[in-house]
Amino acid sequence: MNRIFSRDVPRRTLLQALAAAGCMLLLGAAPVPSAAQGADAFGDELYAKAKAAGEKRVSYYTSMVPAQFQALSAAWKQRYPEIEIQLVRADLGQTLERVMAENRARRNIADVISSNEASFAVLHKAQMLTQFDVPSRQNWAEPFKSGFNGFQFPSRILQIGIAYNTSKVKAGDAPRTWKDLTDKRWKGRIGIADPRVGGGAQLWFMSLWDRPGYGADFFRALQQNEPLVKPGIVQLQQAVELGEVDINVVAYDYVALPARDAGKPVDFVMPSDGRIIMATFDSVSRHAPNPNAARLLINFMMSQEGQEALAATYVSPVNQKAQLNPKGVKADGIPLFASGVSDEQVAKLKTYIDAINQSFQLR
Amino acid sequence: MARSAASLGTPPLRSSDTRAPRGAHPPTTEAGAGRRRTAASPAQRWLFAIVAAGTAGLVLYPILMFVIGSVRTAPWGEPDAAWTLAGYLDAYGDAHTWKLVLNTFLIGGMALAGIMLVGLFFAWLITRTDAPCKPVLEVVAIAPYFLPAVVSGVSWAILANPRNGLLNNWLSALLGTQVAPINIYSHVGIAFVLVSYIAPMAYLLMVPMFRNVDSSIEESACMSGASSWLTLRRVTLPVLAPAILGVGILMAIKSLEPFEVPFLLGMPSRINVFTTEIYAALTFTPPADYARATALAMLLVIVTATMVLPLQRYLSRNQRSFVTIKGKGHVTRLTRLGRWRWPLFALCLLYGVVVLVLPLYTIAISSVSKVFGSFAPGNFTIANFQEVLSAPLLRRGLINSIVLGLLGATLTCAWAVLVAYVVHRTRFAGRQVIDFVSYLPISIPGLVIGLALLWAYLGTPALSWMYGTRWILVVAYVTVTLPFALRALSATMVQLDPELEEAARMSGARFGTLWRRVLLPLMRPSLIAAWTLVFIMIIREVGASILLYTTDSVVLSVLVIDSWNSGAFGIVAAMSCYMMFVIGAAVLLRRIVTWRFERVSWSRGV
Repeated sequence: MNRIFSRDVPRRTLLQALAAAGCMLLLGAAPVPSAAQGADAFGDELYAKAKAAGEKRVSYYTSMVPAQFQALSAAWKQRYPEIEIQLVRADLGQTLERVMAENRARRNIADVISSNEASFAVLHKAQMLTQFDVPSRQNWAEPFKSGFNGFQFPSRILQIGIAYNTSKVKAGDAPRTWKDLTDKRWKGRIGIADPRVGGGAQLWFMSLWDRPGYGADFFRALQQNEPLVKPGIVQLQQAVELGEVDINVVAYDYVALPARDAGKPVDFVMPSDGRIIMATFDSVSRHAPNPNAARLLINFMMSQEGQEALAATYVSPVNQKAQLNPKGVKADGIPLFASGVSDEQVAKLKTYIDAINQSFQLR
Repeated sequence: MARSAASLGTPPLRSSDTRAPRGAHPPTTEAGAGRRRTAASPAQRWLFAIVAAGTAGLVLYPILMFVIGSVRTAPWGEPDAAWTLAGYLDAYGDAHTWKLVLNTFLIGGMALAGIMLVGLFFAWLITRTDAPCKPVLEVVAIAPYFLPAVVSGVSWAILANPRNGLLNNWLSALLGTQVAPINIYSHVGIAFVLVSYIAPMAYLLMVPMFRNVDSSIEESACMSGASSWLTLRRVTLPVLAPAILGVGILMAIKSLEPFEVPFLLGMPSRINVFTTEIYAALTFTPPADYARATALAMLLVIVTATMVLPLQRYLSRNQRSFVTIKGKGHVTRLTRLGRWRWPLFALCLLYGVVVLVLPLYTIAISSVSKVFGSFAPGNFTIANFQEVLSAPLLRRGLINSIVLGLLGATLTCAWAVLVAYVVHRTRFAGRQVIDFVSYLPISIPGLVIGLALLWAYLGTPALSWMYGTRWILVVAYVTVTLPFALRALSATMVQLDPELEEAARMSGARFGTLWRRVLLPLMRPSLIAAWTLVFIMIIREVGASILLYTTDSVVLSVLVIDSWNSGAFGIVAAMSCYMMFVIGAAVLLRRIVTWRFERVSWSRGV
């Protein structure tokens, strides 16, 4: 999985490559099968196969939040009205438990399974997933494109940044970088989510802990600002909305931006010293009862249409042909600090947990 | 309800009854058994067999999966799983664990004291005194249980966090202080929130027991010159001792086991509890460390066992002393509160404002306002409520919750009546084991019991076909809620004088008739209370539901957690309100049924 996690992808080269690809497209020089808006021969073929096989539903075992699922299924219904997505939502750990237990009992229900790096490792070892590819992959952003391993489709990319209460902090005064957070003026005004719990907060900690120039010193300085620790990122988002803290140090864009749009006194900043992004992956189950519909769902989620539907809820599209949400946060030119946890980081988890406990005096 | 219990429990028994014609009295008497005990009838033998088999399947088997989980590196059935003691060594070899245990017992102890005090107070006030406006009091006693634990925790963080809690702001303005008077992020704060939503369970479990006390014994005490207070202390409470102890044990576990509230409110002040470690072992990073999680959870099972076993011995030794429902009519004479009548009522109202109105206000405001705390026009919206009603998934969840709640509560109570009968009215060897085993599911935290049920059900061909349907949830709900229904109904079974059954049998009543005409009518108040409690518990259940539901069988509590995890607090608040409407309707129904029953039975005796 290392290829996904290569750090510091030279952004300029990437943009140049994309610009070149764009030019070629405009000139009609690049052979891009079925990638034009509206037409998707690959999808049509899968749809026909699924219908011929009598597949009327596709069971999607996922952590996808309600707003994202609503957006996705509305677009899906328009295009594939004869197959219904059956949503079974739980967090990724619970999803893993269920899939593994179903497999032991030979009662496989799941068609498409969501995972992160850690739960994928378990699924992969148990040979629960099957390889597959989609035509739209050539339009994926790096490092996901070259890091593709044949199983994991990065359908949902979220960005981690800083959220602040706009009635407590003026836009001009808001922190612009991760390092700004160690400024004395934020003493007693910041909050963090417990990084031990996993997810974005853990990735945030690991990537800044490992980065030269940040590490233990950065977290020592942060701790001197006496952060309020809450169990999760969404609880912290609420604390910012209600003004219990002024700044959420570990915010998700797809949680903070809809709140801002709804008129809540919140805004989101993408720190300019480095981006931390995180993907949730989807895979086809090897034992999928509806194998064609499963592939169709993944193809759709990764397509321009599917990614745009998700982008409406502030998912960052991995398919570069899909439009960014116009109200989203631009991250052009900001170096990439992390795009997920690496195998080495997963292996050293105990060390990180100790570091977290020590940094924030959690034990 | 009582009727459905009867129809579920009796048909096979009645038929066995007719197959084995015999006299009103079985011919042989068990040697050495008390003079009231007769040999088991064939119907009783059948009943015992069914109850024993059911307990083994419903309770013992998942518990066994749980125990095995604590000594395996991966769930049973995984190809490369091995036996290990690492979970126990890791968990209990670490001094940190014991610090957490201390913390947990400190919070749990305070919570337990509060829960029992509040529960006892309301049960006594509503059933045994002439307190005014009892329906209002009952709402105050029960309604806080409507709030999901997560919502309780969050609304209290909003109300009483030391930085900008609403309540703190009001109080500081009132008292003219700079320092926030309340810190909810403390041991006492957490214990208080636990009391606020667990106390209604204690109340619901104790009310029927209080109702069953015949006032004549209290009257005798009064006639001998005892004051009301002395009567309560020396007569009423001692006769209720087994009931109160049983409820106390359940509540002790309930105060040690919660996860959400200590997790939400303890973290800011670094107050870690034992259940947080279990959560960490299961979720910090997949794959979950089952051995550690289950080894940790085992401590709660052991704590439960050490409380239940002495209680059982105590009950079986002193069985006769707790009988309060006898052959003669049963009068309830209400204690006159005199000049305390209104002050006590006001105290209850104040309590209601604190534990119910304040959190409700917070939720309601946060669900209808765009910007919290602003009262500007245009800041309010009912979009959240409309969204809940219009989403098909949510509508399905609402319907499923109601249907599964009705079905699950009915089956649980029916089963609990049968178990209670076997335990307290027969002399089969092993009946105490059934009672004991049925207690255990409560001691396993929700996070872990869900996994045990998943492994057990999917590991059994007879049950795995149910997986993916609504039935699997019904089975899970019966297992999880059985201890509570059983406690309520066992306590009543102990209060019923066996002479009543003897008399019925002497008059030629068959086994089925005995149930229909004597036992079930006498147990009706307890059945109704147990049913209400179980119904609410099912509507709130998350741990097992989230691992066993599918799209078709999605329930409201799962959807609340979904929205919660995605930060859609307005929708969480709106759904909590719907959940409260559902539960509120059940309570109202209960109130109507009980009221009719009370009027009839108490006017002419039972």
